Amino acid sequence: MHILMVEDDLDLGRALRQGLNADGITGEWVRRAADAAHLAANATFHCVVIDVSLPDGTGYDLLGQWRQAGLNLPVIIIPARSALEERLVGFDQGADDAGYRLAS
Amino acid sequence: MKNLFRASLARRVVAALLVGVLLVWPTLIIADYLQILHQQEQDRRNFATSPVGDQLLAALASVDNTQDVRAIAAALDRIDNRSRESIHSPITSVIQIRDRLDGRLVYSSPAVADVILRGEPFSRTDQLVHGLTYQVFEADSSRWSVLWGRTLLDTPWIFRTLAREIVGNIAIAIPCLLLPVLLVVLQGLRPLRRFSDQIAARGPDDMSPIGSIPKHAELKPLAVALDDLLGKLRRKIEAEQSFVANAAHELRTPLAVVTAQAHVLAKATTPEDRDEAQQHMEGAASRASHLIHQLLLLASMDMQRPAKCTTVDVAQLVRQTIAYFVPSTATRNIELAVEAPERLMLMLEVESFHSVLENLVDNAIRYGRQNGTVLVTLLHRGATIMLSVADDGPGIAQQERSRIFDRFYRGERTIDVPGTGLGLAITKQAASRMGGTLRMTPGLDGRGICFTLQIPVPIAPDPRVAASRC
Repeated sequence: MHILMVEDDLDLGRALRQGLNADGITGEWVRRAADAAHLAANATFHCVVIDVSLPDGTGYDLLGQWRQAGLNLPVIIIPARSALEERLVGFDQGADDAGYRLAS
Repeated sequence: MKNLFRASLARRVVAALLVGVLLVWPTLIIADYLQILHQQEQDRRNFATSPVGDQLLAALASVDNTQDVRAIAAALDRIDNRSRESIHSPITSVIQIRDRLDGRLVYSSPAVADVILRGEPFSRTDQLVHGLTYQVFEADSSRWSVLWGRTLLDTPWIFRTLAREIVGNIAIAIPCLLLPVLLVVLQGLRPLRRFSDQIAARGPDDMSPIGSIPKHAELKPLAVALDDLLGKLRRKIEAEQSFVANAAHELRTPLAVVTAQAHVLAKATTPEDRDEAQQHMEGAASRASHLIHQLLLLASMDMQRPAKCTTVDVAQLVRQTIAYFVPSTATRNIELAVEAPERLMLMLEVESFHSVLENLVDNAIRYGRQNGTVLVTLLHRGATIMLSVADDGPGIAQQERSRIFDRFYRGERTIDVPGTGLGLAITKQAASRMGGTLRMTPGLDGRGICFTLQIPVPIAPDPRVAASRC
């Protein structure tokens, strides 16, 4: 399985990648929304994991752009807060799952 | 009774009106009294003859008979005094008639029967008889000499009479005045009551602006001020909420790292992988611990607690702090320099000063230029202490400068440097706790950034120790 991970936090990104690798999941890790948009358009992924808060915009914006462009990848949003409201925003934008933070 | 003395605008207006009306009472009495005195004085001057004397003289014009004269005089005397008695006048009048042919007294009022009144024709003389001062008027016909005397009004009587008369009028006037005033006041205060009902009806979480601002000139400033306060509270609560949300998010990140690394650790097959996972877990724990330390620091500085001031050698403090940072400059080969006086005793909150210094130096080392320079300067100029930290790094973009003191805000170019986004927020809070300000200017050689903390230090009684706002 090959995934795209959009996470700006260095520690968390590294930890997630290592954790996924340990489970045999490979993927690309980018830290900016702009890089993610570029990669998603030019490579094939089974799934995308997006952090909500990114230095150059929110994960929701990115997801909205993809859905508009007709990109139908399965997307998991990592919300900043676990509030129901924010998870619903994710679904509205077309997320397939809005998971809790891994720690929760 | 307690209720009666409670502060109330309506009661105040009514009381003021009552006092005003009651003041009218003595004022009117005095005014009337002065008028009466004036009138009497006028009478003294003008009346060369007396009305009663004239009437008597007219009545006696065709009378020759002393018998008839006596009867007429007695009748008029009685009429004169009776009519005055009927109005409770304290004035008494007397009549004496003399026959001009022989100078004999034909008639005398009983009160002055044993005295001869002296007069002057068509003029007035004052004469004391039995303790009473009479104004005596004399009018003569060819046969009869008529003397008519009357006492003057005495002051206590005038006052008594006026007071009685005016108090009656005021007793009528008070309800007539109070009723409309009371109605107007109660009616006038109705918008205030409506307004307070409107405020009272709001829920504890309702910070929305006041919808309908009253149009009354007296209420509008209150409503506007309240609206303003609500706005400030609203923004403060929003800021608090977003702060809590941000803090939670920031704390979750290292915990997520720990969870992910635990997963890696469980699956690790080599000792190297295990060591690495353990190191990352420790790193995440220390990151969480640092964040919690900063959150607590910010919270403690947020509180309105009074500054805890001590006298300290600030120059020494700066040098010690710089020394502490020297090892961390090695990785990026940064030259850390300090310019400070030999000794600078200052009374301030050491914790706050240290926070400012620590955060500014830490930022300069982490975000400054590789192989660059960081210069820390401490100056005491006049009534101001200046601490500046300058670097020659990339600086801060103009459009970011207004936001860098916001909590959790991180600059766009800081993505590769770990940080919480709380350092400058703490710095700003600490500066304001010391009554100081933070300024941003270009850094060394026109590059980078220079943060300057300015603390006003009023001249202290002891010239060797300057004191900040303590």
